Amino acid sequence: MAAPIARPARLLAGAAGWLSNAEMAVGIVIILGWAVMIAAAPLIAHFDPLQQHIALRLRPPSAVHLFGTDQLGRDVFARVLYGGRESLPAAVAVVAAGFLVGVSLGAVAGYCRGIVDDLVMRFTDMMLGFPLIILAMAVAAALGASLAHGIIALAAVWWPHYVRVCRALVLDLGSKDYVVASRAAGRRPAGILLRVILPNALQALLVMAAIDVGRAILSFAILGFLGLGAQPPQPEWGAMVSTGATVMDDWWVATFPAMPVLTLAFAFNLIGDSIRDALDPWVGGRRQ
Amino acid sequence: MTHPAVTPPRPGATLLDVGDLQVAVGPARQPLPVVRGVSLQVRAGEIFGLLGESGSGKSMTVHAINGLLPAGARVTGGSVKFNGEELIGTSRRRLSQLRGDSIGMVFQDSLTSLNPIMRIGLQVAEPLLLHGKANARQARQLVGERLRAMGMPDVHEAVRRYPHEFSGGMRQRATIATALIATPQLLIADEPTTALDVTVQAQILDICRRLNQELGVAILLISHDLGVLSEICTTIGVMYAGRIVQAGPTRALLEHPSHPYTRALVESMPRAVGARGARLKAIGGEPPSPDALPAGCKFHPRCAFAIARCGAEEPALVDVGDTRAACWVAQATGLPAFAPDLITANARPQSAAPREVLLAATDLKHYFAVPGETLFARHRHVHAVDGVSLSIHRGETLGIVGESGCGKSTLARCLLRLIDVEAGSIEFMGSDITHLGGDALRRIRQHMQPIFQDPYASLNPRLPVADIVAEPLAVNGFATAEIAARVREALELVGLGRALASRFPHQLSGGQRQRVGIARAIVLRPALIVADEPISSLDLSIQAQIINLLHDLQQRFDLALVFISHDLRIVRQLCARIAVMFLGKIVESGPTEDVCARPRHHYTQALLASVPEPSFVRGRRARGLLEGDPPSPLSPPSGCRFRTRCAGAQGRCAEVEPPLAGNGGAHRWACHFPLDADVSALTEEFAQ
Repeated sequence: MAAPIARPARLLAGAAGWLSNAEMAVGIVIILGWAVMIAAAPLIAHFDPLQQHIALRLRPPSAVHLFGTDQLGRDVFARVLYGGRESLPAAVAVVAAGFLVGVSLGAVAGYCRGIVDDLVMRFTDMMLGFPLIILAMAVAAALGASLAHGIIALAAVWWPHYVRVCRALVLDLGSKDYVVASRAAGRRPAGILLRVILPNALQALLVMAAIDVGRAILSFAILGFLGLGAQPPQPEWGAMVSTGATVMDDWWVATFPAMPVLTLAFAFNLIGDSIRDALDPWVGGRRQ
Repeated sequence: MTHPAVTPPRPGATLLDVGDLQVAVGPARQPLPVVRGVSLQVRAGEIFGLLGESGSGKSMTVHAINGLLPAGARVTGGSVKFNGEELIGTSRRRLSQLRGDSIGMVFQDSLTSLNPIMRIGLQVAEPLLLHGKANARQARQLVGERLRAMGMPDVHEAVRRYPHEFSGGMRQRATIATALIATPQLLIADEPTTALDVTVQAQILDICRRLNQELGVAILLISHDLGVLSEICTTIGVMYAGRIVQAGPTRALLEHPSHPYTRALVESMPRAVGARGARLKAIGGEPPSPDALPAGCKFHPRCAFAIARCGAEEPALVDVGDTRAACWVAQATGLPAFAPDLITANARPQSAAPREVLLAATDLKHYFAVPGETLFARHRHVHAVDGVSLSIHRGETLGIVGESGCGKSTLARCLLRLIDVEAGSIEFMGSDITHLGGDALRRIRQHMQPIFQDPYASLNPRLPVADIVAEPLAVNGFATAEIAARVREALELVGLGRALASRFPHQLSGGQRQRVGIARAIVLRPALIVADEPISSLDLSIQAQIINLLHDLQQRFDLALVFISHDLRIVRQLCARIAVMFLGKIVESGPTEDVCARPRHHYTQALLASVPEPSFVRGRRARGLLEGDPPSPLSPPSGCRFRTRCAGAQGRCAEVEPPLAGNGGAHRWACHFPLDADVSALTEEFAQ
């Protein structure tokens, strides 16, 4: 009803609203909390994550060992925090690599259409046809288990859904009048794609990437759990859960490494949901 | 069913009585009033028209009446009485009961107001069955009756179909049938024809009028189009900034618009007949937004007649002459005499000698491939533009008129070489540009620029206004200093202040956005501008401003302007020459005076007849409305494509396609049996 004069920029107007949005606030607090703890690990954790004390093995949580100790008497709290120093950057690296490859391919496919589109998309469909985590396992196993190979393996299967989304966005934006206007003004095709279409598509893609970090952490933990990620004695959440699962009676060994995976995946999903709601004119509270 | 006995409405008795209705939106702490004391009465058997621009509060008023206010909006005062029963604060159950049998509703968008997975027949019958007012057989019979009354062809077949199988016009018929199935006393129709083509709109309005007469149902019709309301309403209320500023019998209101806003609307309404001037009288400025209402009379900042009192006190709606108006000037001295000739009389200068041809298109064709009906069927082709030839001279204005789907927008993009043509050739500024590509095409583009319909989609949301206008200069390698100077000049020319240059599109109103679009089009000083429906998504009082702006720029820069519209009134106003398109072909073209006053093609005649105008203006002139919908461009009829809707079609029309020809003059038509002098003369008589 109201005249469109005051129609706010969706993203900016969102920003003010987001902090008052409970879901968003919870998500941000969880992520910031873990990020700060992981960054400040040397200050918070009083134990070396690799230092073994066989005499102190499998001690339950206490004031000294907040999360208890594992089978080799290492401090689980320290290992969880130091483990984040592997898992978080690895997850971000996977998403970043998938993003770069996927968005580039998707943009080219959506803008060029025709045979290029067909080739790129059929290959993408083929990739999406596999269960991705199994494909990643195959790649990681083929390369040999290590943290770096885990990243490469996940990145290798991470890009296809960015291709799909990016291509759809580029196709949609390509028919917008302002893009046609750019063409009518005499802008070159590359300029239209890079300067007009992509900046407008980027917002949605970045939102998708932010949500994806949670999924990447989870996938990384799965690889680690299966022994295909970081190798002992390096602390890594998935691997720690895996070794902890062998001593289920001493519940803290597996539970505490699982906590950051669970809560971070949850937090990134919360944020993703609220961003999506804020950006979606139909769900978001745009007053008519 | 237990509901209070519905007293049969006595004609003339007040059916709906809205008193001082107030609606606010937003948080309770700082409510934004969007309806600020609306009073209106709808009497049994009358058609009441509520006129207003977007943001005027007309839809909120209607939603408050039927208890369908959107979340966040609430009634903050006043009353709504239906047959003496108060509806504000009544139970949901009672309201839904009333909506089921005493008040029918029709919305603008027939596609979303029909359930896509329900057959039309059941859908129309639903209110009856829900309220247990009929058994299946009775319902089936009544549904058939209503759909037939709606002019739905082949009712037996129609009731078994789903909404997506119908055209917009047919769907709107079905929604009206649904609203009327329980024979309500009041039909509330919110912009029922806005999404429809002019010829279909005329049919629907005709149906509304007939229903009103035959069933005695009162209609509350909401529209932004004064023409539509004046066509069928007995009473009109004009809303501005949340209040009714003038209300009264249609004829009195149109002939004596005692409120300056009403007067401005009447004056800025382009006509299909009568004097044709170069400029429309336009209201300056824009309607206020609910969070920034001026003090006193809300219209006074835009009013040419405002006196000191107007800025201080808000006038009440009181009797002024035959209508009621809320205006201090009208109450005190009255407005100056109302010029009976609605349009300023400075006749358009006719270009004496035809100048050099700027763009010549010959036998243009553009097909769209659509998937076949079954999985393995071959692709079919929509002949969007199917053999169009036209030429535009330097400094000339050419209007292209046609209904949706006739290919006018595709033609525009073909002319600008934004899409490729399948066949034919385009010559521009003396060289063949049909198959030009790469840098050569980019150089040519500087001389031909588009203006788009949707001011929301046509501006890059990530760029400030100055950068949007600068883009054509920047990509064509202009120097920074010159870009700045030219952008400043272009913004000034379209009437945008310097303060707006750093704003982003979402911070602008629709009218301002369209001005930015125009500034971008003229900043390169092109020789040709192709404007595709540039005003159809703008508000009433803004449309005239933009038409005048286009006219002024066209004159000033000696532009050749191709103006594409579905609205013959506006094209007639602005263009020296008109081409009428039907299903991918030009069916009639020639000088505006000839085409509008002496149409030879039956379709042109029908378009003219479809233009809504007050019944007392139309008089006894035959309407000659078209039956049915435009045929599908997927499978156009053989021979003359218009023959299936044409009253004058004969056997030959199905066999031989008529060429676009005439008597050797500039006026040409594609018809085997063109309208003869008598029929045309009738139109001409009223054109005087």
